[in-house]
Formats: sequence, structure tokens, C-alpha cells
Amino acid sequence: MIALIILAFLVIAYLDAPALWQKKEWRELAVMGIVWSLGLALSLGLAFHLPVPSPAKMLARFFGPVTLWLTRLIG
Amino acid sequence: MREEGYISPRQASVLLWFAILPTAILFLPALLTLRARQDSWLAVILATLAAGIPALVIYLLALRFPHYTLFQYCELILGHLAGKIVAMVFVLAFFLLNAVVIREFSEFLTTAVMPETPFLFFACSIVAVAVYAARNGLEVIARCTDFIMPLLVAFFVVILLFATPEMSLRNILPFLENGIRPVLGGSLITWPFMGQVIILATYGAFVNPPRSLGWSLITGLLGIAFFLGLVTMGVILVFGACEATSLTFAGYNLARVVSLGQFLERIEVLFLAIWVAGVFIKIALNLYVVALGLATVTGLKEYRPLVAPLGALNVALAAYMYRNISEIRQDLLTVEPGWTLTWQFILPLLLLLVAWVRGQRRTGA
Amino acid sequence: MIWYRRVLAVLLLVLGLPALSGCWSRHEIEELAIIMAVALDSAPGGQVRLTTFIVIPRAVGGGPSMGGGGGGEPKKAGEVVSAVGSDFAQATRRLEGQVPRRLFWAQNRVIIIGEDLARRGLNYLDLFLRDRQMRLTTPILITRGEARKVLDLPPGIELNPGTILTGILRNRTTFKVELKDLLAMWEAPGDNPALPEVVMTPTPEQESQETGGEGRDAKGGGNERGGKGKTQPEAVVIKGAGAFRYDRLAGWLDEKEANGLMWLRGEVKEGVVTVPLPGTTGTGQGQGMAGGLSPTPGEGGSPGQGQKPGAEKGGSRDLPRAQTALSAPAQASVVFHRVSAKTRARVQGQQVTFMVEIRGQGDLIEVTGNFNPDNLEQLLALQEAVNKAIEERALLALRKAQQELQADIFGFGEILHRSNPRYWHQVQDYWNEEFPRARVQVQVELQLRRTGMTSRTPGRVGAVGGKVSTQGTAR
Repeated sequence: MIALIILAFLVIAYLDAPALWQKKEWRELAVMGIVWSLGLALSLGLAFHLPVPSPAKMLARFFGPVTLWLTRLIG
Repeated sequence: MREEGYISPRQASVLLWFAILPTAILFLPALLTLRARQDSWLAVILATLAAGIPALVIYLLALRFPHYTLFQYCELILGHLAGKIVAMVFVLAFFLLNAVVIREFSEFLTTAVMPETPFLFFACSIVAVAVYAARNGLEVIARCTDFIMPLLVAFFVVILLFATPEMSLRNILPFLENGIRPVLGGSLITWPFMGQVIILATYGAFVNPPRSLGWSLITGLLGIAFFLGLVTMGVILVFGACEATSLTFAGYNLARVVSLGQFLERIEVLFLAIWVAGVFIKIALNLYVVALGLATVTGLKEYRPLVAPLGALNVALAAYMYRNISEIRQDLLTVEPGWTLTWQFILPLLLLLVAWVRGQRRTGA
Repeated sequence: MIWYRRVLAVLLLVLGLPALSGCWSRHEIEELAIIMAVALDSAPGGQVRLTTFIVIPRAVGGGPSMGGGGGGEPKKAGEVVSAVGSDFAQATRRLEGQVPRRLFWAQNRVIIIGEDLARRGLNYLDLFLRDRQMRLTTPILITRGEARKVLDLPPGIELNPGTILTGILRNRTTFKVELKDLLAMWEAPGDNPALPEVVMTPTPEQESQETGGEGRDAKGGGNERGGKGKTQPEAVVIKGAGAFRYDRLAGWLDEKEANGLMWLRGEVKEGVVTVPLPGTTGTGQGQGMAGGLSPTPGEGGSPGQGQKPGAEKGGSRDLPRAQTALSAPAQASVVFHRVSAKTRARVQGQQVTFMVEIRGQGDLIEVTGNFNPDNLEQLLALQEAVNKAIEERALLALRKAQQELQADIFGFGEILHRSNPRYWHQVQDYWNEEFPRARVQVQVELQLRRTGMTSRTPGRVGAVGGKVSTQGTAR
């Protein structure tokens, strides 16, 4: 599983990174690198069953009450 | 940053259908009937009318800033820093939305079609194809819809037409049994799907001529209301409000009960094929918008390198965002309405107000 | 640059390898045990028994002639397998331990519920609603006693009980309830489920030994496999119904009552009414409407004995009880179509009244007795008799539901719900207790339109039945 994840991310990197490197588009490379490493870190974290906070939970904490209030208001 | 191509107003409105309908027809009817019972179809219409407001906002903004995307005029309106922050909120919102869509897609396929197949397999395959489409640009996605849209429409017609023998008209009575409030509550649940009309503020910049965006918005919204209303109505007519609430994938069940005589049965396979194609468009479009937005916010010349990593991150996010399907349903009922109203309704409205107060426009561009 | 492009290409190929082995959820048809019929029963100790009819592919592929050979009976097309578990999921698991292939449910034709399980409640059906292979369009039947006995049905025209039963259901002899209809009736607060009942009938020869007064002509049967004293039941009839109160079986409706139920639910679309010919005084008049009303043409013989078409050609339970009667009572049969039933609810104070209006058209198809349709009065009298007969059926079903079952199996509550939601909200929580107080008016207006290819009954004028009064008075 972990090997597959790393392989998949290597393929993703290969799609664009060499071309960006050659064209010396460092800004593109940096943004892509950030997103890429976030994805890799998250995937590996999940593969190793590390506790990662869910964005859905964060949304729910704040917008749950908002929705409740809206529902009381109109529905 | 700029996109090379342009799309026609018709393609823009059809893309809007695909941005909303695929997941809505599957998940919405069951959730909607929970709240609005047999008046759910009315809730769909009300939600469409409500979506008319952000649609108008998008149109007015597009007139002020023709050929600018949502992410671009965020910065033009609010200034450098605040603009970037708000644009980033939109990017994140579209990104989360896409993760939910990917999750819904895989969750449905594992539940209803291939339970032994790992959920990640579906997520990865559809995102891989969507990444490919998104990297090829908006024009390519729009041209995909050109041949998927007739299939989608034909499929709606076939299902609803052949389901008529199973329908009984009295299922929609009594009208407004508990007054208007449950219907309003139902339209609140419809909003998370309907509000995605905001996506037109992003790719709408590439519609030529910009003024025809109004036409795209109107036909897009009408088409969505029409099909979503018909499917909701069909579900209520065939199953009745009581039964519809217990069918998780009511739209799919509608396809499953269809039979014409003894020879045309089990057309749910058709449903699956076309539905998967529809979801593919939806995910590709979202992915494109997210990549475009991120590229705009970070000031890149090119969005393409971002698509594949974003897709991968999206799959990972989709995989752990929810633990099970009940959390998705719960979220759609109790969290999404508030969240989507905030970023799809209030935020664009504020943008327009600020632009109006400051008197900003870029018509010379 | 080139070398690592090559490496990558190889890597991509390797990545694609898992896909080559096919899908995870793929099952070849040779690996499947296709279930064609399911019977659900209760088992001792709070357990349930799942019985399935699984197709034997060899038997189906060759057709019935393969096993036929020299006069032997058609080979069974499938195997009946049964397992007990604390719920149906567990029973299924145990069933898988007995079957060499993977169970495949999507082709299941019919679900039969046994009486005991139905009394325990419909909750046990959950597996058949939740599992992705199950279809909401599967017809569902109920039977007295054990449901698994129905699966022992021998093959006939159709090879397996599932197809036999759905074939009969398609004839519209009785109403048809699919899982989704059952779910709707069960979940709607103003409705209670009713399921058609499948009855196992003994073989004709058995019957002739057992009973003389069953009202059935047993003469025609038995030439096909005469002399073979089989103890197992041979045929099925779908007639009558099991009525539920909420989710539990509360009682049974006989054939007449079930027919009335169909009329009141608006399920009747076509069928046959047989009534004594008005104005005649046949000897058999005393038995009223012997066999009276059957919902579909050719009810005698064809549904139940579907697998033995040659036998019992003359046998029909519509015939008067014995050949020894001096002269048969004059009867007329009317086939009707374009039937519509409209029900309205009216609330006056605390009194709910339902008005059922049944309209339709009828064609005369058979008269045994002296009848001349050119005589308008006679025709109208017959029409009146037909309407009366239908109304009587409806009232029978109503009486049963209101007085005995105390369950609104007609969905009248939902009609009240739709037309008067305000009053409905007062009574919805105890509607079944409220329902017996409701008044129901049934109005039947079936119109006789056509009289077939002949006008008066054949025979010498004035000779049949010894009555002459009906002749020559046209108008």
C-alpha cells in the first residue's frame, strides 16, 4: 500500500516537475511541491493510521450551529 | 492567469447542469423527503428561486469585471491581501466540495454495485480521468458535455417515462400538509446542491460574449430545476413520501423499478453508465476550478502542474473526511446548508456590495 | 532523459497490472447459484428459516424434455435448500455453507412469507430491502402454514416455482404486491399491508378421495399421472389474502373478501363476474352465487393447474357443486374492463365517511340459461345483479376489516390524509382504532356495453329452462 502511494506520487511528480524545472518556473514548482507534499503526507498518514483531523469536523463545529439556527428560523 | 480558450454560452449552461445534477439526483430526494415530505418538488423550485439571487450577483459581477474569474476580481475588489484570503476561501471551499463529491461517488458504487471493490479504487480511477480532462482545459471538459448531455437527457426521459406505470398521482397530496415551513426547511437542504451555481463565476469568465452569461445562468438554473424537480417528483410519485425517506439512493431505485413489459428491465446499468459520466464531468470541472483558483491566488502563469497533485490530495481527503455514509448524510442535513449558504450566497453578495460601494469595474479590459 | 522515461513506462505498466485480473466484484455465471424463489418461515426458538429455490443450470439448459424421456415426469429445475438462523443474514450465511456456488439474488422472482413469520412481524424483511442484489419489484406472497412447502411445487409449463407464481400474478387473477408496494403500505400511517395468499391445493385424485363437497369437479383430472398416489401438493392457486395490522399478520381474507379488498383498493382492472341470471328460478338458486365472482377470465383451471393444462379441462369451481343436480342454475358471466375506483372521504363532526365509486364497462361473455340481451329490461336487471354482486364483495371485505381485524387494509386513512389533513392529524396515531367507526358507502356502476358475437342464448326458442316469457318481447 505504502509502496503504491509513493509510486503514484512519483508518477504525479514526473508529469510536470521536470518540465517546470527545465523552464525554471520556480514559483510553479514551489506551489506544486507544497500541494504534492501535503497530499503525500496525508496519504502516508492515513496509510499509517495516524490521527488526522477531519476538515468536515471543523466545518461541523462552526456551521452545525449556524445550520441549526437557520433551520429553526425558516424550517 | 488566463485560459486560452473560450466556451459558448450553451456549453456554460450545460456545464452548470453537470456541476449540480449528478450527485443531487442520487442523494437529494431521500434527504429532501425527510423534511419536506410530498412537497419536496416545491422545495426544489424554491431553492432554485433562491439560487437566482447568487446567479444575479454573478451576472452583475461579470458585467463589472468581464473576462475576470471570481478569484481575480476578489483581489480587484478587496485589495491585495483581503482579496487573496477571500479567494483562498473559495478555493478551499471548492476543494472540500470536490472531496465530498468524490466520496459520494465511491460510496454509492461500493454500496450499490460492487461491495467487494475497495472504495479507493473508484476514487482513484475517476480522479485520474478527471485530472486528465482538467489538464486539457475547460474547452475539453465542455466538449465532453456535448456528447454526455444528450445521453443524460435521454436517460432522464427514459427513466421517467417508463416509470409512469408505477406512479400514482395521489402520492403528492396533501399539498402543504404542515404549512410552508417544512418546504422551506427542504429548500435549505436543497441549497448545498443548488448553490453550486456559484461555480459559474469562475469559468463564466471564459464565456464569450460575457453578456450572454445571463442567458447561461437562466437556462442552467431552469434545466437544473426541471430535471431535479422531475426526479424528485418521480421518486415521490413512485414510492410515496414515506417510502422515499428510507431509500438512500432514491434516484437509483427509481431506475431499478423501471420495466417495460417483460423485455426492458434492469436499466439501472444504463443509469450507472451515464451517472458515472456525469460525475466525471462534475469532478473534472471542480478540479479545474480549484487548480485555476490556486494558480490565480499564488500568481502562477499556469494551472496545469497543480491539477494532478490536487487530485491526489483530493482523493486522500475524500478517503478520511467521513467515516461512513451516515456522516455524509448527516453533514448534508446539518452542516452543509449553513456552510454553503455562507460561501455561495453571502460571500458573493458581499463582494458585489463592496464593488458597488467602491464603484469598481473593469470594463476596459 | 530517455532511460528514465523507459523506466517510468514500465512502472506504469506494472501499475496497471492489478486491473488486468478483472474487477473485484466480478462473478462468472458458472460460479453463481441463481435463486429463483425465496420462502421465509419462522423456526423454533425465535429463529427464522430461509428456504431458497436454486436453479440447476443443466436442467434449465436442456429444457423439460431432457428429463422427460419415456413418460417420466419433468425433471426438477432446481434444488430447494433451506437453512435456519437467528436472522436471515445468518441463515443466508449458513445456506452458503450448503451450496457449492455463490448465492445470487438478483434474479429472484418471488418472496413467500410463512404464516408464523408474518405474525412475528415484517421487520424480518429488512435484508430483502437493504441488500443491493434485492429488487424492490419482487412480488411478495403469503401462505398459511409453512412457506417452504410452496417451493416444492413440481415443474410444469414453467420450470420453477418463482416463474410459476409470477406468471400467475401476471394473469391478474388477484392483486400483486411488490416489495415497494408492501413498504409503502407498511410505512404509510393510514394504511395496512395486505398480501395475496398462495394456497397449495392437493392433486385432483387426492381431492376426490378426500372430499366430495369441496365444490370442485374432479372428474377431468388424473389421466396424466393416474394411479400415482403422491402425497405432496401438486398445484398452487393464488387466492385470498393475508391482512396485516401495522406490521403483523392479523387475519385472513377468503377469496370473496380478497376480491372485495381489490375493488376497494382500486386494484381491479379487469376480470369476470358471474351472477345468477336474474328472473330465472333454477333449482340451484338457493346456493346464491356459487363461485360467484372471480376476478379474471378463466379462473377455473388455468391459474392453479397451470402446469397441467391438459387435465381438468372441464373442472372449474365455477360450476355448480354436483353433476347430479336436476338442472343447473342459470348464470351469466360478465367480463369487465376499464374499471376505475374513486374514493372520497368526508368528515362530519367526528364521523368519517368514505364514498367509493366503482365505474367500468362490462361485456357479456357467457350465459347458461335463457337470456335475450335484446330485451333491455333483462339486460338492465343483469347489470344490476352484477353491480350488487360486486358491492356485496366489497362490503364483505369491509366487515371483516372493521369488525374482525380492526385494520384499515384499504388505505382509506391515506385518502383521508390527502383530502382532509387537518382532521387526519387528530386521528393518525390511532387510526386503526378509529377506522371501525368509519362509514363506507360503496357505489358500483358497471355498465354492460356489449353482448358478444351472439345475441340470445342458443337452443330452441322457449325450450331452455322451460321459460318462454323472455322471448319476443324486445322492447
